Amino acid sequence: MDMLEYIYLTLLNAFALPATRSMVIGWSWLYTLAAPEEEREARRAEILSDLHEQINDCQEEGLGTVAIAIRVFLRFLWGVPSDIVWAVGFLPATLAQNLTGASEAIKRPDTLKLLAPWLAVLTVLNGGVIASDDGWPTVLALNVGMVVALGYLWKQHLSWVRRIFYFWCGFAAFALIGFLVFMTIQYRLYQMPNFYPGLLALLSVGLAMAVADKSVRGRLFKGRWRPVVVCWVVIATTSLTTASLFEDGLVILLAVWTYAALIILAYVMLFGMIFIAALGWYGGLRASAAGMRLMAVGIQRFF
Amino acid sequence: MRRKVGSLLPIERSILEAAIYLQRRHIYEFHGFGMAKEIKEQKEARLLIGHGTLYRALGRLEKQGFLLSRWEDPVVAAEHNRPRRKFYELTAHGSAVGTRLLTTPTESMPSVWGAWNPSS
Repeated sequence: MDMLEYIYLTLLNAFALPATRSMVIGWSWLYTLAAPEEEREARRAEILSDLHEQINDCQEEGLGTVAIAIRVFLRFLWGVPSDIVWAVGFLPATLAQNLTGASEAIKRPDTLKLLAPWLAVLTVLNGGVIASDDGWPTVLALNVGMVVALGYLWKQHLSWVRRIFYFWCGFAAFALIGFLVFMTIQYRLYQMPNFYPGLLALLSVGLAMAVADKSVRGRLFKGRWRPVVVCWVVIATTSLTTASLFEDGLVILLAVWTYAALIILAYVMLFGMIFIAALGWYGGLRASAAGMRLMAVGIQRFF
Repeated sequence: MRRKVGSLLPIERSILEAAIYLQRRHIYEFHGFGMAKEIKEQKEARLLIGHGTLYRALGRLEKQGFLLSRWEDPVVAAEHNRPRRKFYELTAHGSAVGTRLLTTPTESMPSVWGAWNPSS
């Protein structure tokens, strides 16, 4: 075991569980903001208690800190959609009305025509900011731009466009999975010179794909476009901010998060292949689930 | 998932059934994590239910009158050096419905309100 591996394993064992615990508590703080004070504090306290009980229970079973962190993380992940639905129920009525009114305005064809190109441009810019010298994150960003543009064309009900759209979604999904599997098996993730920007590009591209794909199918926020745009702006802003943080040298903490996330991914890929679909959903690959099926058809027809 | 009036979601059904099993073992109160563990054992699942799913379902069952809740005495929690637990227990109606669920196949599940409807 060389020095880098030793440091990595030491940091992972030291920070994996506290980092995961902080993430769960932080998320419970965030999504309960919209709730009335009594319900907000009750939910936060209940989550804190549950977290304590689960960690204690796992420790009594004799599990290691990384294994406990994985279990806590997965349990947290599965509950996020329900958390969001619970929180949305507390949105003020006026906000709901504003969202409805805005969505009606954005659904007009001329508004959609303006929206799709801007999404494509923002996607390319996002990828360009975090691009490395070898250019492949930019290629992925351009890929997303094409997906978004094709998504808009798909709304024109052209069957060949839909075929291309799903083909590209499926291809990008397979490329993402194949890349992560290959690099994990080769155990060379941390040796990549552009590892952090590359990972950030993959994550932001995946999320952007999910938002774009579901938005053009009207399944994100039930067709209300304004939250879709807000969601995408948050993704892009977070990516830009995190990219600058990397350059400013906050490497240790973010490195631990990255290693923990990748180790979790490696574990579920090695020991639970079925979780790939669930993780892929959160990484934006669920948007391409139909594309994976259609890709097989596409290959037959195009090649 | 949009529910039909008078029906329970699968997670809610699982919670009521698990609560009945706990009652039969003379455990009349449970907290969230304890319920998650019980459901995992009953269903022979690989993972525990997510926080959001579980506590949302518990909240709905409490609003519908199937469960009652109370917070643990803070002194007791402090003695055990842990956060306060929130305990749930079945109401009489919840117990009756849970018992009926255990003997009723999912496909032919009767209305869980029966002669009692809290909105009436």
